[in-house]
Amino acid sequence: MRGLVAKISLGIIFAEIFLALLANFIAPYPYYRVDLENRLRPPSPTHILGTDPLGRDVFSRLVYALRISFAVAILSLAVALLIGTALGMVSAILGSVTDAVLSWIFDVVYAMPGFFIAIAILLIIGSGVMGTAAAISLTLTPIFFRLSRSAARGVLVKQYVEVAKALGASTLRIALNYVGRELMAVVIPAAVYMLSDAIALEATLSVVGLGVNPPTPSLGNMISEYKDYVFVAPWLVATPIAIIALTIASLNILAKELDKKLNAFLEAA
Amino acid sequence: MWLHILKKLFYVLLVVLTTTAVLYSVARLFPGDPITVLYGETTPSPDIRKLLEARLWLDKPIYAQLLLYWKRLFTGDWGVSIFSGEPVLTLILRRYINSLALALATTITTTALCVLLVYLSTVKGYDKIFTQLATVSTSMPAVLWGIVLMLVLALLKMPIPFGSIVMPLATLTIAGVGIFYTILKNLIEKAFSEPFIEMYRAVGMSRARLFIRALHYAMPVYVTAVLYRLGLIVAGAIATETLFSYPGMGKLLVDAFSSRDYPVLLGWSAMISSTLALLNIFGDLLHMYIDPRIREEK
Amino acid sequence: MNRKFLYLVILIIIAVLASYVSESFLTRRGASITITVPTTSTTVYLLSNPMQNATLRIALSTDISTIDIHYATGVADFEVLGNVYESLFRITYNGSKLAYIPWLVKEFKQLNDTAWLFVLRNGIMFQNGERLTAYDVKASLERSMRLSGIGKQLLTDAKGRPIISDIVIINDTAFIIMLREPFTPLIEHLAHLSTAIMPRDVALKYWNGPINSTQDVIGTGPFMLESYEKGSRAVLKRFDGYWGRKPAIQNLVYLILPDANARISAILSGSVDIATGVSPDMVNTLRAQGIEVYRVTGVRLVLVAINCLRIPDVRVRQALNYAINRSAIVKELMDGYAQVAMGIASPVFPDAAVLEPYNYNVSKARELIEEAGFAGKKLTLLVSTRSPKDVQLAQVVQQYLKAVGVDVEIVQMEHTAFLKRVFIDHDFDLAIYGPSPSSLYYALTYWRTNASLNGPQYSNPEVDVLLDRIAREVNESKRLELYRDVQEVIWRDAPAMWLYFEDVVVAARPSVKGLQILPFQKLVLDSMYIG
Repeated sequence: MRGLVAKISLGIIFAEIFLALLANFIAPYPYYRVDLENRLRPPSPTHILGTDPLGRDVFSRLVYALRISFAVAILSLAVALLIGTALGMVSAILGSVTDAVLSWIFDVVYAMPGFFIAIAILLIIGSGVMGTAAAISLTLTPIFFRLSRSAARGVLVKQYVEVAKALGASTLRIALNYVGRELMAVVIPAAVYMLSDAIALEATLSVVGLGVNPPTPSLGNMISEYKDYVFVAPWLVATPIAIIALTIASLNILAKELDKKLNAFLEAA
Repeated sequence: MWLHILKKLFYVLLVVLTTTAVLYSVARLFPGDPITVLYGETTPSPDIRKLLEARLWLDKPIYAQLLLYWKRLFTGDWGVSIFSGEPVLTLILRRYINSLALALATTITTTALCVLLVYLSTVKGYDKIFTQLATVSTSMPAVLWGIVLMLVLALLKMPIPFGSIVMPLATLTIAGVGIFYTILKNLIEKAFSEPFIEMYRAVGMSRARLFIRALHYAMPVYVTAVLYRLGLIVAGAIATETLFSYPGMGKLLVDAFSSRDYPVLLGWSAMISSTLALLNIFGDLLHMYIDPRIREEK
Repeated sequence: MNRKFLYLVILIIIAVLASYVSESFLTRRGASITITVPTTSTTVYLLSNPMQNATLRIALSTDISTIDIHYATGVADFEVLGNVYESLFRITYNGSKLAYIPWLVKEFKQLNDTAWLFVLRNGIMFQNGERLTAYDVKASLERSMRLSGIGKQLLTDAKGRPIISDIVIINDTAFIIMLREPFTPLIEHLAHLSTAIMPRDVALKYWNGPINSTQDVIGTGPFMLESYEKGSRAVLKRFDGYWGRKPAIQNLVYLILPDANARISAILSGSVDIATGVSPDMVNTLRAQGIEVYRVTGVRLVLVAINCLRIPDVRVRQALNYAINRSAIVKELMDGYAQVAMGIASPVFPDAAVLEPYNYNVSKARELIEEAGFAGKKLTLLVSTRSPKDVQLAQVVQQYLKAVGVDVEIVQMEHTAFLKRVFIDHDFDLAIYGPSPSSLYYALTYWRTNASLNGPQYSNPEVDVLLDRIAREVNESKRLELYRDVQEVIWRDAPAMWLYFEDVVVAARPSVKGLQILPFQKLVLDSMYIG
């Protein structure tokens, strides 16, 4: 049964990727087509998820939004996760000066409000998907750095690591084997849950001029635009949220499964 | 010992200087200045503009402005807000206390709730429901939870306490409990698979006591995560504060930025960066205390 | 399977709850569609209000940007500070037209073309206990002309020189305003709150910059500013020494709630008594819940400015005007809560001309664009992120222009950066904003060459000359003709796509009685009480 759940989760993720990639073919209407006479219509056969405040087809916007939001969220999360955990581990293992310098850098980044990071990136890289992803990943990196540094410090003093050290294992190997496994328990679920943060962040960045410009849809700007209509058209904001919830649930299940597989593999090895 | 403390203080100073420098340069390079804000769609005559520029130090190069602000930070006179004229120090302290109260309250309620839920799920076996709830909790950004809460109160015709801590606290707790529940549960589960727990179990320790052992094991990483979020809330839960018009640090930052109130921005940055740096040091110390082996290593 | 199933159940429960929530709001839709026409009879000042100790709580959508009335620019600034300060004259609204009536001034007389005598009312007190004198007026007006961006716009001529050459004080209550040249809209402009009167000491203390202490926010108005927490609330208290009709309420609390849902929830739950900035989409929901919705024709002209230096060809600018279906925007996007622009000044201004409309005409627009060789051009449209409605409007405009062969790219900007780009750097092709003038003449000065509010850098010497002539023309019927001419010229030159005049929509709980609303989105609390 667990296997089936994992398969369904995988199916959902693939379906979303599929929708995102083939948005041009799947969307029944252009995502930007304004139709003022048919605004705020509830779901119906012609518009399966209804229409938005400008009469645009919500389903069409949604499939395009998946494309942009997943691209931004996954790109930025992956970069933040990779850089954050790698540097966190390095910091914990090497200690002394490296630790001090890295901590300094990330303390400064952490103390910078998200939208100031966004402005800085905007001034350096400019607007667009890359700029947005860079800003979000920079905002999220300190948490991964801190978590992995803290987890790694805890693991590195454990008895069995001492034993491994005594047996002549290199620090890198120790790091990858023991620290990596420990991190899976914390950093991966944190990353999965950060997905909704990353998607929401993208929308807030549009306030300072980063993020995507209208009429291009993203899950974030759909939520921030549609939330003002919860009293008159609650289905509008429910749709992007349901998608995010579904994604997070599926990724959580998959992460667990992956963790289990990995553990089994490592134990066998 | 004293040398150690001195070193840490020097580190905090370094973080404060770097952060204020970066933040101020970014704010200055972004288009628009306080004079634009003051005049809106209109423009002042050239001589008035010159007068105001000199008054706000805008006629100097950015590094000179920054040095002037730094000098102010250390003399304790943080200047006054360009728009309300309130001394920056009192303004920031007031907002800071509000944010700190919110952050501490949120951390306490979230942690209490998480420990309870994890206890119920790992020891009593209510795992599945809580995992679903955790997903629901995290799938909506905090501001939407706030809107949902507001909607419920509006429907029940119950007055919404705008400006008080109640609504932001409830919102942030609901939005945060999911992620911390998952982190704590994973850590506890890991602990349960560790040899030392097996040993205790073999000795015949009760499940509840085993849970406390495991909790002790899970604490360092959990505390790191919780302190991280605490820092973020002290620095400002912008959307939630705005929604419930709670006068905290987040709203202060946004307003100071959108009105280009540089003295307030600088003060905000100094206050927050020093807090966060101290919080990190505190976290490291706590880490050592909770996990004695790290202390021994040092 | 179990997990997934549970998950689905939870989602469904949420969906059901959400629909229930909306349902309970929607079912009673139309149950009480009684359109409330605000009672705006001429106020009888002899009547005294029932004195109440009540607190009136008002939700604002934007924060005030300053505590200095001479620096006030936004709607919220005038709303809050307008309770503290008063001007020599006052703007009133009778439900269809604006009028300018003497306020702090008891009587006035035009001595000759360039000299006006004013006599102040007796016994007017400032909130610091001092008596209002002509010295205060002189200092305040001079400060306004010197510092205030709007004051400068109101009281300078086409060449940027102050229209007032001197203010001669006769005694404590009488003074003469000496003009450089005749200036017919003087009274209207002295009614603007940007020329509000403050104590002389305060005016001189802040001669070179904005007031920066709430202690020094002192006017002659019915309320005193007690405290102000930026981004959160402003608290005002009744001024018991007020010279005029004392307000019924004791405390006035402005809550700053930028989130639309927060304002709606606040008024539905009774957390506030009045909510401003109500979206037309919300009106039915509110009425179904027994909330009264007031609606007044507004002065805010929503337009898309066209940079005249980048698009100098008037045919293109006219074509852009023909490309927009204004009635569809008004009827659908604004739910009817707006008036299609039939001129460049709101119909609430006396003498605002109704001009030949730019009817929606795609083929004509295309023709003009082809003719001018503008087809296939790419333009950027700047929009400030402060107003979600503007961002939506930008997307509608984009679609209309695409249909006539002009590709538009929308660029969102933070508000201050937007102001700099549009009004200082003039670095844009198209930009959405909406000026809210207080008088017809003021509305027209936006389009004067090099005027600071002239974002699109429109310049037509004929307009400048006509504006000068209006200022000098004493004959009323001749002046009316000139007014019509200048409006016609600007309208045809099309330095902007004229879209619509936004209605002012305000929601109030049924207990709020006697509320009046001005077309500037300003609440009038004179005869307001809690019933």
